Amino acid sequence: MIVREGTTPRIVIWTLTVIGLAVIYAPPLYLLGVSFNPALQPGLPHFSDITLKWYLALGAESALVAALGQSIVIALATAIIATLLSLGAALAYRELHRGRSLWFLTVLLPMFVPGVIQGLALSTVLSRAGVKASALTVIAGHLLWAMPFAFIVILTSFAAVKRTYLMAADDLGASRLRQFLDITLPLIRPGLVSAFIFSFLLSFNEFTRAFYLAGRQNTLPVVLFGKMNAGASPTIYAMSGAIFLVSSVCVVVVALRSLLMQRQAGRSI
Amino acid sequence: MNKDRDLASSALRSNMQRRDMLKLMGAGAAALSFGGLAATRAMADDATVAFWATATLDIGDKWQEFARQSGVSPEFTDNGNDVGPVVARLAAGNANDLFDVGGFQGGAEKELAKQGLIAPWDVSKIPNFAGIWQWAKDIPTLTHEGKQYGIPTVVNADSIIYRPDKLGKVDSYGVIFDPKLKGRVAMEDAWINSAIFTAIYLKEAENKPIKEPGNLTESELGLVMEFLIKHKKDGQFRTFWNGWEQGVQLVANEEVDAMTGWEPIVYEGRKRGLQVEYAAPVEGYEGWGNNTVLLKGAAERGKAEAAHKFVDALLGGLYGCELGKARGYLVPTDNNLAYAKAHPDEYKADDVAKLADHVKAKFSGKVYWQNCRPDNFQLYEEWWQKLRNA
Repeated sequence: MIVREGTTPRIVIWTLTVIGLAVIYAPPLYLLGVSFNPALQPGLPHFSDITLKWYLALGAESALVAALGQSIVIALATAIIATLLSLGAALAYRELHRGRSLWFLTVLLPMFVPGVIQGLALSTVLSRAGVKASALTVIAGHLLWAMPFAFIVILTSFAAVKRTYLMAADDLGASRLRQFLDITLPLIRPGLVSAFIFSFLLSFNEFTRAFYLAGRQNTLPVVLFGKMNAGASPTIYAMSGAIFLVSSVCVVVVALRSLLMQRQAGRSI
Repeated sequence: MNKDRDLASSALRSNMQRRDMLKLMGAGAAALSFGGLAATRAMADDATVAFWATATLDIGDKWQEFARQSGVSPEFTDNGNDVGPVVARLAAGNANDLFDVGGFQGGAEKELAKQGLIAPWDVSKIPNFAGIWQWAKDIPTLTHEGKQYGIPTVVNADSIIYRPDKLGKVDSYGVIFDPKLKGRVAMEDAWINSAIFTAIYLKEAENKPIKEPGNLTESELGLVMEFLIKHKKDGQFRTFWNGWEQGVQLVANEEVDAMTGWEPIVYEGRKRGLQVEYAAPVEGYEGWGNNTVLLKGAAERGKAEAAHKFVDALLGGLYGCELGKARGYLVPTDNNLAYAKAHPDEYKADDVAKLADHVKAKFSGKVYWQNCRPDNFQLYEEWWQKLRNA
């Protein structure tokens, strides 16, 4: 028997959804609005006052631009390495019988260590070993932070990989590598993409570990934090706005691509 | 300072020592050799000085002109200003491997010197040291065991930001604790400033037994903090503000009528069209110095000579003129005025003189020096946490 949903629950659900989205997106949208305000005093501009002057001024903010470049490179490297290592860790977890829980907790453990302790401790160890701070040491610190999240996401995606698929492939003579490439990898691809995005964002926004592990070039959050404490100009809103806009465009592109693929799949059935 | 370098290469620029890394990891040679080469190149260039300091001490593109005149090319890195993490990174972390000269809030010198993390300056190699105004040379935290560990490169004195349209003329910290202004005043969420302001008020206005507001004994600290906690519980403070932007916002949004804070917030408020003033309190100012220290690593790397040349150039006039123009901060020497007169196209001598007179006037009265590492440092931290939780 099909139970029809009444109008009231729908209204409640939609109202709650809209309120929830408003709460989540209001702050970044407010900051985006502020970034188009010509005044030094933050606030939403009148429609006639909207200006791109703080965005145009970004080019002259060499410290911000250099930090942004540093953050992007570090976040990309962290995302790639974290995804690959987490994939390996997840495959190991699948293969393990005894000690599976121990392995799971071992990979997850860095997530529970406070960033300031992890950053300072890693900095101390690397310093004692004669390794000078640089983008690579920041990547090492960010890997500890991002990997547990990437691992969980990838592990979740393994739910789509049924043992029977692999057994069937095995019966048909497929090697372990062939099974992985032709069955496992396509099925866990959404998990890999999510792990990559998670790792990128976790690294891109990370402050504490970067502060202790950075070389002479700080990352964007460290520079933004310093600027907020020492006389911020509205260019920091423009920088935040630019990042928000680029992120939004990426999300829209991915959503449109996904929609397009769904339609194509629908047509081909 | 070369800021035009390619972003990617900048990002991957590494000071890693290839041999050490290979010893440690036994792999990754191709990736790391790039960093090793960069480190070698940097080490060979002894005319560069890595300056690790508060963001407000950065003069941006003007460093190029500074380098042209001084023969020392500074590479500026923001240290975040918070002395706690800075000391931790010096003591246990990598800061001494990376940076040559530090620009820290005054007071850290003694602790850093005791731990052997900074080296004393040889003032005979800093000709401009002689021109530093005497009261700035007399800042008590600059020396340790008779050696000069800090150079007072930037000094000023803080008090109260207020709205004259609401309060008329304010000349006492009493305004911050006035019950009539309950919920309309604020202090900074930092004991380094708020504890000393309160101690100055209690000592001077209420004759409480406090000897040195910048270095409170256990019982004096208890007195100060219990006073603050009581007022917090009474709802006296709208908030304890944190960071430049929040400080500016409180003023700009007219949320408070008075608050203890930094003078640049007044300038920023005026830039934003607000009527705000900075008080000259009868109880005296909180003096602060952002002092320049020589990191031990610089001496070990053979960078001491370049570091001395660098700090001498900080006192040479250009830096003072630029910092005064950009921030209203003062390098305590007459060289600023001489430089401005010699470069009238770049700096207005009148403005430079006005700033110097303004700061000198503050120091002509009572001043208690800020100290970011008082003897009872840990106790300050504990009390401040109690205040936050109250």
